[in-house]
Amino acid sequence: MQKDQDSIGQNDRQNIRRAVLKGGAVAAGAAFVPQFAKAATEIPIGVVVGLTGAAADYGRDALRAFQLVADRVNRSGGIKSLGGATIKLLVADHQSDLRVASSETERLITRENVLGILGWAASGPARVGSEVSERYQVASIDTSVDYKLTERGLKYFYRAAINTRQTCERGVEFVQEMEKTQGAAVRRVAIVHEDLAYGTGAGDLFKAAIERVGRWQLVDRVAYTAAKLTEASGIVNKLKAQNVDVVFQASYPADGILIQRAMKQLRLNLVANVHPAGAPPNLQYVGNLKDDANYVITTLGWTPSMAEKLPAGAKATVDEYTKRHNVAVQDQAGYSLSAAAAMVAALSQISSLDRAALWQAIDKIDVTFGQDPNVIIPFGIKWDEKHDNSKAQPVVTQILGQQLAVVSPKELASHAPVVPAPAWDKRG
Amino acid sequence: MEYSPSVLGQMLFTGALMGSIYGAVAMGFSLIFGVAKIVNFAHGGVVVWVMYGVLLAARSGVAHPYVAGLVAIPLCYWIGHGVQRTLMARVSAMSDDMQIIYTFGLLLVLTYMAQFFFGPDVHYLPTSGRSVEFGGVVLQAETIIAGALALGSALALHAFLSRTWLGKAIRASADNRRGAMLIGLDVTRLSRVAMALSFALAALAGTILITVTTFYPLRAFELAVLAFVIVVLGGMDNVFASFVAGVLIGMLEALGTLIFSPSIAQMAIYALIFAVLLVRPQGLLSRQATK
Repeated sequence: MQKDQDSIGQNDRQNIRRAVLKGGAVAAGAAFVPQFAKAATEIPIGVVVGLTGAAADYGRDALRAFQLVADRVNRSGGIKSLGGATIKLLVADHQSDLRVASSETERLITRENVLGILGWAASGPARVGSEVSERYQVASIDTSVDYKLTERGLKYFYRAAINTRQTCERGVEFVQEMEKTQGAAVRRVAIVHEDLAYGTGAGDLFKAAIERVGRWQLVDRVAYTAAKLTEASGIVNKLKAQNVDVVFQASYPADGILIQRAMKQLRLNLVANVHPAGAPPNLQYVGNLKDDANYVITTLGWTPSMAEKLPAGAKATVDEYTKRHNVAVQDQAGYSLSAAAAMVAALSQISSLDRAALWQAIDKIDVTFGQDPNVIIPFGIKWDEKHDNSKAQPVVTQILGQQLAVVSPKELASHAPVVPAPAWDKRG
Repeated sequence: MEYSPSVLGQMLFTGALMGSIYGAVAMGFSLIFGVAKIVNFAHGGVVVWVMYGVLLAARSGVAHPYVAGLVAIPLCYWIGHGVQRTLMARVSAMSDDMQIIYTFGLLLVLTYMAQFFFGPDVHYLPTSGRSVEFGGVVLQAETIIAGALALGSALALHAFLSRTWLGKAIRASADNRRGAMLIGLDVTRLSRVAMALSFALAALAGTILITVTTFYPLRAFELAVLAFVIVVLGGMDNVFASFVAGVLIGMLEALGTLIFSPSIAQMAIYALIFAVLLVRPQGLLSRQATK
C-alpha cells in the first residue's frame, strides 16, 4: 500500500514538474518564479523553533506538531489547489537565542526561499524573527504567548496561540467568579512575577485587570530576577506579612517550584494562587513538587486532560501525536497544531507558490473547531485586527491530584474548582 | 509598611542561613585563588556536577543526599588532585587573561556536558517537610542543616589553615609563592592539595545546595558568578572572609527583598560590589593592601 502511494506520488510529481517547467518557460522574466519553479512539487515552509537552549521544550513540541500536520497532508495527496504539491518543512534551530533567531529566519527566507514561516514558539525569538520576516514580506504564524507581539502593528505576523492578555484577564475574572459562586472572600491581592518579557508583561496585565475590578487592594507587586532565585522564603514572607488572599503569579518552572515550596514552608494560606500558563503546566513543576503543587490555578489554551471531551477527529489527532512521539500533547503542541492547520488551510486557497498570495490567504483564514481534525484547541482560528486568534478562549485549570484538570468553562470542565485552597496544615 | 519582629526574624535567620550556603560555594573558589592565583570559574560547574551525582544517588534510592555527599567529598578531593596534575598543570604559567579564558572554557564544557547527559530540565529534591518554629519564625530542617554544615566547614577550614602545618604551608604559599619555594616548601604539591580541597568544598556546597534549591545545567554560570562576587566582596585571598561575605550577601538579599523587592536586592548587591571595587578593591574583609 505504501509502495502504491509512493508510486502514485511519483507520477503526480512528474506531471507537476512538466507543467511547472512549461509555465516556467513562459514566466522566465519574473524574479521569483525560477526559484520556486525548481521545487514546484514541494512547498517550502520554514520552521524556526528552539530545539536547544532554554525554550527547547516548547520548540520540540512545536516541531512535532508541525511535522504531524505536514505528514498528514502529504500522505493524503498534498495540497490539491497546487496540483498535489507536498509540504516540505525546512527546519532551523534558533537555540533560544535572539541573534540566532534573526539569522536563521533570514537564512530560510533568502537561501531556502520559504513561502511562509511557522515558529518561533518562544516570545523573545518571535519578537526578532518576526521583524525579519516582516522586512521580507513573508507571512508567519507564531505560537508564542507574549501579548506585546501582536501590538507592534506587523502586517505579515499572525499568532495562533492564546496570549498573556487573554490568560491574565481570564485569571482575574475567574477569581471574581469564585467570590460569587464559592463565597471566597478576597480583599488583598499581590502580583509576583519574574522580570523578563513574559513576567513583566503579565504583571502589567494583572495590575490593569485588578484596577478594573476596583474593590481589591493590590498590596504589592514583587518582581524577581528570573532563574536567579536560590530560595524564595523572602518573597513569600513579604506576602505573608501583608496578609494577601490571592497571589497572581508569572514564573518559569525553576522559580515557580521554589516559590510554591516557600509558600508551604511558611504556610501562606491563599484563597487562590493564579498563574497565566507559565510554570504549572510544565511537567517539571508537578514532577518536582508532587502534592505540594495541588490547588494551584492556571489559565491556558490547552491541557492534555481536555482530550477526553474532543470531537472524534481532534481526538484522533491527539492519539496519533501521542503514539508517534510518545509524549502527551502539551499546550505548545496544541497551539502549533492550530498554526500548522491555518497554514495548510491558506495553502489550499492559493494556486501558485506566491508569497503575497499566501499572505492574503492566511489573512482570510476562518477555521471552525470540529471541521479540521488538526485543530484540537477550542474554538477554531480567525484573526482579529491585531492578528491574534479571536476564536481562542483560555480555559481555567487547577492542579488536583497532581493533574491539571479543567475547572472552567463548564462545557469543558472535568472537575469543580477547589476555592479557597485548603490550608497547608489541612492537606494530607 | 511596618514589619513585625517575627517577619524581621524570619528574614534575618533565613538570610544568614542562605548566606552561609553561599559562603560554602565561594570558599573553594577563594582557596584556589589564594594559593594558585587562579580565578577558577569552573568551580560552579563542579558544584553542579556534584548536584547531579547526589540527585542520581538520591532518586535511585542508592543513598540519602547527605550520605551521597559523604562519598562525593573524598571522591572530589582526589579528582581535584588529578585535575591539578593534568588540566590545571599549565594554567599557573599562563597570563591572567588566559587563565580566566581557560577556566571559563572549562565551565562551558562542564555546563554543556551536563546539558548533554542530563538535559535542560529543572531538578529539585523534595523536602522532608520538617521544620523548626520559634517566635513566629519557621525554618525548614534542610536549610538549618545546610547552614550548619556550611558554618562547620568554614570553621574547620579556618582551623586547618591556621593551626596545622599543612594549612600554614598553604597560606605561606598563597602569601608569597617565591618565598615559600625558597624555604623549601613544595608549592606544586601544595597547589594540588589546595585544588583537591577546593573540589571537596565544591562537593560539600553541591550536597547542601541540592537540599534547598532547584538546579539545572545553566545554574553553573550563576554559581560561578555568585562565588566570584562573594570573593570580591570578602577579599580574594581570605577563605574565611569569603564565608563571612557570603553571609553578608545572604542577609542583604533577604532584607532588600523584604523592604524593596528581590530584583532591587540583586541590583543593590552588584552595586555594592562595584562600590567595593572602587573604594576598597582588596575586599571589605581583607587586611592586605592593594598592590
